[in-house]
Amino acid sequence: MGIKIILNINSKRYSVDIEPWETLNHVIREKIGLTGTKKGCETGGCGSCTVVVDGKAVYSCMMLAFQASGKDILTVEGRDNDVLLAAIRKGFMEMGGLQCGYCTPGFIMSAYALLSMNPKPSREEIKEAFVGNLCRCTGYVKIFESVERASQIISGDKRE
Amino acid sequence: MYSFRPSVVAKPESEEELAEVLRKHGRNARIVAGGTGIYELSRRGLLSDVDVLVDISKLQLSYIKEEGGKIIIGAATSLETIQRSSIFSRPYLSALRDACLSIQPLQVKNVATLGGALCTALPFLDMPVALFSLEAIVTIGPDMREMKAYEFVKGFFDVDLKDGEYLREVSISMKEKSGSSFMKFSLTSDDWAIANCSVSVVVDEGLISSASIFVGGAFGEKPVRAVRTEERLRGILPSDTDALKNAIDSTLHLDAKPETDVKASSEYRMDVAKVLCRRAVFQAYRRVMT
Ligand SMILES: Cc1cc2nc3c(=O)[nH]c(=O)nc-3n(C[C@H](O)[C@H](O)[C@H](O)COP(=O)(O)OP(=O)(O)OC[C@H]3O[C@@H](n4cnc5c(N)ncnc54)[C@H](O)[C@@H]3O)c2cc1C
Repeated sequence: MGIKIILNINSKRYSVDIEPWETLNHVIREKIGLTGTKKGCETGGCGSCTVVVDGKAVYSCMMLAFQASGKDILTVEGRDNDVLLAAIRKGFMEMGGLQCGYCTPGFIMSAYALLSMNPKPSREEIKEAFVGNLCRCTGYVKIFESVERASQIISGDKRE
Repeated sequence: MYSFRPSVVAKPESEEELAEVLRKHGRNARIVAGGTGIYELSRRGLLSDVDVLVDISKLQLSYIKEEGGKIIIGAATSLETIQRSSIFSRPYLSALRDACLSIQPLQVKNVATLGGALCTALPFLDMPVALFSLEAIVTIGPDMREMKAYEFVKGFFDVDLKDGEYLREVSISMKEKSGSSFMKFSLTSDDWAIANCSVSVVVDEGLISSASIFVGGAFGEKPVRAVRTEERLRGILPSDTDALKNAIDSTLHLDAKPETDVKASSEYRMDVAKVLCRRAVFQAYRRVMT
């Protein structure tokens, strides 16, 4: 049984056989092998499975894989030469925006969706974008600073 | 662990096709809109007889229109779209926006739809309570049957859809001199409401001339209408806080009978609901007056 779908992930086309009940998270990790996207609570809420679909942050554990077929999916592995993603990674590295790192791919993807719509978010706007992402090491301040740093990098500002 | 093993995905391209698939497969077919409720349903073992998943994303059911004195919202409109639309900052519609804002994860709101929120039919959801207080009307396809959203939701996981039918759109009539407000209380930002309350009032010469009040959380199989509180509020000046408190405290429990569960006792829920109701009435009133 199973159905064949095309997933466009990080600007690459993947033709995959899936079952109708399989989540996007499962297919990305187990069938395509992109394990940067994490599996966390699987009930929607922790945010470690966040990917960007057609420009919006979604929980890959709550989306059935077939729902994403034909859409533009971005994961933390990213596409080549993605300036925004590079800036976010750099921001997280420079500001130390992670401890254990498990939640990081999800935070990076939520930051990506935010900064692509709003390149200069306020601290409040950053917090709002992260309502659906949990960091159990509770290093939120560093994460907010990382996004602010990424925002500076993309707008070409010098470090303050 | 889950007995959720559909074998087919249908992607109808027209509403006729949708109705046909739904008619053909009856209870073995299940619409997937945003898909965020599917997990909840499958975990409770409610999708074990589902064989065909019906993806409605190809139908043009995501829209917000203003037509003939009504605001019409397509069933597949995402909660994020509603939250962002300036239409819902109008005083009489604000409760719907409040309810959207009260749901936390953006990752859910980006895909979750208004139709899905109504059809999930759980008594502690937020969007239905807001829609009920705004006296929303649902249109059911393919025959364009209309009914009150409050009657459409029958009980736990139960809505008034027959085989072959689907929720098409939700409409709310425009109202003069009316304001609305939705409030909820939950233990964490990510949890279901202990209680929620949505209120819509019409104000005449500074006094409440009519009110529509619904309470949800765990007050039975679906949110309840607080008819006696609605009556008691007529003619009240909400800025007279004692009068407002009395009116609500002496009536809300007559219609709303909260349950005790692991999260809250019945008494606690009732206290919370009364406070929420008072604040929502006051905010709805303030929104008309300013
Ligand atoms: C992490 C998380 C947090 C949440 N927090 C809240 C919260 O705080 N408050 C709250 O109120 N809700 C909350 N929700 C619930 C959320 O509102 C619902 O899951 C969502 O609205 C369902 O919409 P959907 O489009 O994803 O529905 P789907 O999952 O696609 O469908 C749900 C049900 O509705 C049916 N359906 C959908 N559309 C139609 C249609 N047009 N016609 C007929 N049947 C239809 C489906 O067949 C299915 O039975 C939360 C959900 C998650 C995952």
